[in-house]
Amino acid sequence: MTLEAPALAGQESHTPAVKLDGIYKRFNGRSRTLKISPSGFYRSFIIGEEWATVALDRVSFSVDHGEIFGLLGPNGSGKTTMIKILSNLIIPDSGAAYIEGINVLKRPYAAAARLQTVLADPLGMERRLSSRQNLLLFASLYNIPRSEANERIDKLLEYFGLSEYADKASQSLSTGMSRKLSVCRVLLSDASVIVFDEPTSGMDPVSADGFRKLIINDLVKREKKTIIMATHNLVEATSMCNRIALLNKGKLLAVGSPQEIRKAVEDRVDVTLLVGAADSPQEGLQEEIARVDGVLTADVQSNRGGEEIRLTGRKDLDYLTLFSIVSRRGLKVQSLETSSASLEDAFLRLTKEAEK
Amino acid sequence: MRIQSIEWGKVLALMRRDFNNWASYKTQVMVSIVGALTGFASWGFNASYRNVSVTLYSFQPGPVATVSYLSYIVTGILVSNVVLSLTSGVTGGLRPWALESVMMTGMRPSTFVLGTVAWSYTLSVILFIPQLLIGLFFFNVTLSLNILSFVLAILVSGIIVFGISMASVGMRLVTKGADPILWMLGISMSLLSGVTFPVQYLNQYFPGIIYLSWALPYTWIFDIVRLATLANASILNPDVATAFLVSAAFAVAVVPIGLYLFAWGVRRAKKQGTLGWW
Repeated sequence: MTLEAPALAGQESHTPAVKLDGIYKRFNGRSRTLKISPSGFYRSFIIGEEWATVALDRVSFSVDHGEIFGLLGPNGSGKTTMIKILSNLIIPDSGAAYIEGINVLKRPYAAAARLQTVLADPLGMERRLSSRQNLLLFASLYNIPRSEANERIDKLLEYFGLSEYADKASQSLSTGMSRKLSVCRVLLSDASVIVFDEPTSGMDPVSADGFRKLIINDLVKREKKTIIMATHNLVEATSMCNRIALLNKGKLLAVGSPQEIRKAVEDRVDVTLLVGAADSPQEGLQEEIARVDGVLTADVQSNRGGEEIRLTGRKDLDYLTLFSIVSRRGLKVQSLETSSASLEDAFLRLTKEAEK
Repeated sequence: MRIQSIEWGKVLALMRRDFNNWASYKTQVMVSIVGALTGFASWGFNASYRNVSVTLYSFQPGPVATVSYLSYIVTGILVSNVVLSLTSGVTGGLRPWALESVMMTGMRPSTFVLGTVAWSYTLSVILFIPQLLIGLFFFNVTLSLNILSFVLAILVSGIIVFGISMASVGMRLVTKGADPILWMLGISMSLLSGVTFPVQYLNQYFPGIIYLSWALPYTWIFDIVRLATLANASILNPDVATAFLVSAAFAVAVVPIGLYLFAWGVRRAKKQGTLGWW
């Protein structure tokens, strides 16, 4: 399912910042283990065990200028492969990737000048070198004259609060600071598209929040960059991204704004019903509730305060029957909470549908 | 890809990176300097103890010059130290944890390879000077240098080593561990290329093996460097010119092979998605 993405305010339909056109990538190889027996040695080490996996299955979408675009999916969904194809670190089997209209494979140097990536791990820094030495190295690789590089590095280090660590080995930096240093690296490049693979992975909540603000306020609003970020953090994707591509097992499940994707499951409602403790065990309660018209899933858990009934149902769920079941069993309703579908619900549902 | 497309500023940046990394390990710095000098000195004492003379033949049937074994071995060890720095350069310079970030900047293959091995070569050349001084003033090595031939020998040798570096980096990107090309050249160098004894000597034991020796690029590097430094061999001499021409032909052949293998290695690693693996 592909939803139509809304045009960003002030954006006209020119060449997109990034375009993926039918990208297909399959990895295969042989895993080898050394076994001592002659037959085991031959089979396991010389021949090896063949494996293959489709990392991306004909994925197409485009990203507009100035957009924060999320790649959302569980581990192994193909997010990193996609990022590495955009960064010309992986060659697809078929399809093409374009950065501002430039084919990544055919004009790699021109594409590299427009897109830079902060990978999840390793961050690509020399751990023994200081922050300044690392940035000076990349400034040279980006063809920035030394005097200009020094000026820009000082400004960036100051802006990101890394000045006092400028001459310390980068291995002494915390995870959050290391990521900031990686951002300094890509900002040196003048690339208009910046890609993050799991930008806040391994960060504490405060650092992660600060880093998200940095992306929104500094990179997008101030520097006018286009951001692509891979994440499996749904809250992050919802709060930051203009649009999201949902990926699972290499397949593109949906593309759209978080609101649009939620709409895909908007006919659903989650209900949490807390009822008072019963005098006797409530056998068969879960099964009875599951038979109520409109209930899709039901789960009943006993706790010290009573029974907690969690269910997912259609919006036309038969609440009357639900309450009559509870009342007939002599249970007193203590609280009732309903919530409409979240992005997480949409993600789980679309994933399950794709796997069927 | 053209050789003139090498981006020297980037090569220097990568070299500076490797120097800074190397210099950040104090013990390693001391050990590598002391190790190089003592290793060289032990060869010097070895040759001095034997005190024999060696006939330089090059690949011609007749002798070119007669030199002391001390001079012969000192040049052999000095050149092999520079050539062997290729191994440590490729192994240490690839730095897989930063490889993807570096490649992402849009670097040309020749730049990348030269940058990868530049510091290792530079270090070997830096260590070459005190080793040479020890040879000249402590062991009384006598050189008979032809400047023009020496410059040409360095140039041709540099191109051959650059071609082999390209091939080696390409292989290393695929195999991750040992590189079979460099390994084969390395083990054949000490036996067949005339580092510590003339290649003609081995032919007495294994008739015909000399042809295998002359099929190796390293043999030609040792030959032309010795002609230039020990025999005052002028490039205007037809026999010497022939040796240089064959070496140059090797250089011309090795570079495109190196380029091809490097491009193959990068492409294969990118196809397999293993560029940053190690």
